[in-house]
Amino acid sequence: MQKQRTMKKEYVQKLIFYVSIIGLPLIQFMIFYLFVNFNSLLLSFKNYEMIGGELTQSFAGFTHLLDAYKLLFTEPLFAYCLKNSVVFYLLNVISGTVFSLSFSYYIYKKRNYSNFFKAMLYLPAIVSGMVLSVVFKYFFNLGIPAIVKMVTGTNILGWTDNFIVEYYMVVIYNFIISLGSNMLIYTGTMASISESSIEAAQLDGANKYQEFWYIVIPSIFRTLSLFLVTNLLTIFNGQHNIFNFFGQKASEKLYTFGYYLYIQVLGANGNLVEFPPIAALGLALTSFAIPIMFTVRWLFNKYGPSEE
Amino acid sequence: MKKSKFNNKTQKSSLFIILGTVLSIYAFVMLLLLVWAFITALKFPSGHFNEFRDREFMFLEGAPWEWAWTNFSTVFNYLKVRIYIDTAIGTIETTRNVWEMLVNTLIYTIGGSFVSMIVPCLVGYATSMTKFRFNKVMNAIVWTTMIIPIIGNQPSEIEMMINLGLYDTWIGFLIQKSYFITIYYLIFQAAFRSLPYSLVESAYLDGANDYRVMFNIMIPLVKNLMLTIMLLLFITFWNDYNYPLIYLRTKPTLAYGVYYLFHINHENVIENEPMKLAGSMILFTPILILFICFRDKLMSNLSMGGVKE
Repeated sequence: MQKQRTMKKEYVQKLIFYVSIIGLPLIQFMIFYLFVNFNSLLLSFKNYEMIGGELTQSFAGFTHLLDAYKLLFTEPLFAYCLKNSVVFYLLNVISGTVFSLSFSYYIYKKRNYSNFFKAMLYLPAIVSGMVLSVVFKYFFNLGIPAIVKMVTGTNILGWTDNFIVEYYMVVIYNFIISLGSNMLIYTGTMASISESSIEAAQLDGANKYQEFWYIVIPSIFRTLSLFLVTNLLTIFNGQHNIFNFFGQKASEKLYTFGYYLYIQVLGANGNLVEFPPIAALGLALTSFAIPIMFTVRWLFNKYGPSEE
Repeated sequence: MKKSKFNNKTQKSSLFIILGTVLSIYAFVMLLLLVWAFITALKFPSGHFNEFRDREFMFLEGAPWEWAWTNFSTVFNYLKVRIYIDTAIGTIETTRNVWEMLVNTLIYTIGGSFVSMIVPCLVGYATSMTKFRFNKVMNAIVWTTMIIPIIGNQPSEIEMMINLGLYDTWIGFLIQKSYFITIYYLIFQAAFRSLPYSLVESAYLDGANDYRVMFNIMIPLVKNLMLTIMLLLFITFWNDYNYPLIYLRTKPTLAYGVYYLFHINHENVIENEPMKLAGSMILFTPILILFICFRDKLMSNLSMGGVKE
């Protein structure tokens, strides 16, 4: 009986400790995640109006949501958003996965100058995205014509303020700065691969390509698939440095969904009247994003490589 | 004899030769960009824009230069962000100078990085060191929210913060950033799980309570990980201007100021490339110093199994 009472007292003490630690973060989660997202759903069905200096709200029905779907399928701006968002996502997958993984393998294997390359790959993570993109923009706009002039003696005409040049500038920049993305996590996960697996492959005569493909990739696939799935979200909410390059003045042909949503919220300047259509567009995009993300995750789980 | 699937030894290290070459090109491009930016930031802005454009790329033209260190002080003196404050009598237009932006940056960066590090750390500790069934719910929350895509919820968040009186306030910012649903929660959880539980047991036998075990024994064992994550977050907050632009409209940070310099600025004196790049170097230099001082910590290998020095 005494033992039972002591155990109960210990349990209550543990419970008090547990609640004192997780209680506030859990309330924060309920307000800033659950409530915010539920409220976002409600906001899509609301109208805010200023009547006689008073902010009033009314039920808007499905008007905003239907308008959002209609805009997504008919407005040429959103065709650009879709095209650019997918292109930048794919670039990010190639650069941030294929190249970043290969570079992480080089660093994990401690090849020549790997510490220097590690620092260089880490550079985009420490330099402000805006600073780096603006430096890149100036260099691209001014440096490349100067190099061409130096080498060939001719001036490139129409280089600046040319949409094609701007587009490739953003594409190349996004590719370059993603090269080191997730490198620390990849090298950290690679470092936890057991030495015996690597040695066994080497004894079997595996070359470095085979070691990378058959041992390293399956061993880190769980981390890799998490990044690939979560990166899919950037199709719908990624700005892909468009705001860094152009502020609110990007050409419509360069828009992504993320950029469009961001400048809409920024332009609203905290004015609630403008929020319901933006929330409805977000809801419409979420309705496409959820099935895509879960299908891709299911495919990874079903067909991805096993660690065994 | 069973034939191995690994039988090709001919391409012994060609993979590393290719990777080393690509990495060298990448490193060259990155260094070139930064060196060019530093040198251009130290050039005198030409009175005539095109004249400057024609010569500015040339690294060595006219060397040795007379370095225009005054560019930095000019940016410091002239960079001002225009802000609009809503009051009972209407909207007031005012400006914030670099010193005020610096104070805002320190509050934003130190406060934001601290709460964003400590909350996942404490929650990660509680869920890894106790055996409550609710831990599974907490883990499920983190994993699920990481993969459920919610798009366009900023208007809702702003609406809620306005209604709670938290919009455009430091306390609102700190509460908003006190979330545990980040990858750092998983990293801390893995780090605590990797520590020997016997330490906790012997502390309990010595009569220590849960708080004492957590703060005096276990947390000090992950202080390196805490420092690494705090530094990573510090850099992220220092460079971030997207959040202050929307949520802290009257509290511009230095990054916000540099955004303003590049995209909105109305001051003619600093409306040229050397001045703009000097402004960006003001933002970059403290982080470069931090990186040089803590590069080993910053580049330690993070994994969902903790941190490896």
